[in-house]
Amino acid sequence: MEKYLYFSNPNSGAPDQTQETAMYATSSLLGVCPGSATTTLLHFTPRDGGTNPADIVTLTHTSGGHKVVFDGVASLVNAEKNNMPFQVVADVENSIFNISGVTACSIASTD
Amino acid sequence: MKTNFLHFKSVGTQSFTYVSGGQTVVINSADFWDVAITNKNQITVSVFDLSAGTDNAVAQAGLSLSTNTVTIAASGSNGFDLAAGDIVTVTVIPTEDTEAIFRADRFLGVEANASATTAILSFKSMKSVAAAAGDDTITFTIADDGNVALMKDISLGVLEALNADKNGGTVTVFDRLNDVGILANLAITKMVIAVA
Repeated sequence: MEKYLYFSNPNSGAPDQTQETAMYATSSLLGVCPGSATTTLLHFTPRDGGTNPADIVTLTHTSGGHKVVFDGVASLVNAEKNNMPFQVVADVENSIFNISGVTACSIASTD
Repeated sequence: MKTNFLHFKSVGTQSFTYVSGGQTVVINSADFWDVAITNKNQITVSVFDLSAGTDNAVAQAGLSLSTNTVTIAASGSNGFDLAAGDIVTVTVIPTEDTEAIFRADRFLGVEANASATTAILSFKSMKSVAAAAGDDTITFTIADDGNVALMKDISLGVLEALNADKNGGTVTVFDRLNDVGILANLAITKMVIAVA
């Protein structure tokens, strides 16, 4: 069964703009790398069916915490804890962060 | 589907104990730096003040870089006035070229190149799925491999990493900074991560 990663970052209240929530198939995750000392970038196959550039979800976390985020992402992709198909990575509106040290997220897509 | 993620982390930090004279340190030696530092915006500099026992971050405005020489300005110019025994630590700012995890199922191959001392791992690009997208690479510098022993060991190590965890997870192939990982004992002297 395919599993999915969920992210939300509405500015306030109900989502009313693009890129405020997103769900990607785990098979769409292309790779993960640091963006800065306090951010990690998750690259996904573009949701709009395009090929380039990748959609990017940026997770903000404690300084130098990239390996913790890497491990957390790998765990969620593989549904290590609960084997559920729906894996919440960062749900800002509801203050749910399922990776230690992550405090915020943003979504950037080309559509 | 369970997936392993292969983890690579390069080295990029160096400490110096100040003695006297100009407030400069020289970086980019192969032992300490995998990423070539060509702009001061790639690094952070901190000073451990021996007399005060405190760490002090030096602002970017107080730094300059010329070739491999980092100069710390005086305190009146956003820098720090060094005293004998102070410890200057220069550290690369994390980017896609300092550390990353790559999906095992996007691994393309590992091969030598024209050099006798280079092995290259390739993954499908993490930034694009376009047909023309380049591949992401990790380039290892190794000792002269006249008997092809190291290349074989690297290939076997990568194979081990690709299949390390049947339940999926993060597998450290090589963390140069902490000298750990499956390839840690293969005398790799440089590792350059290049995300296309």
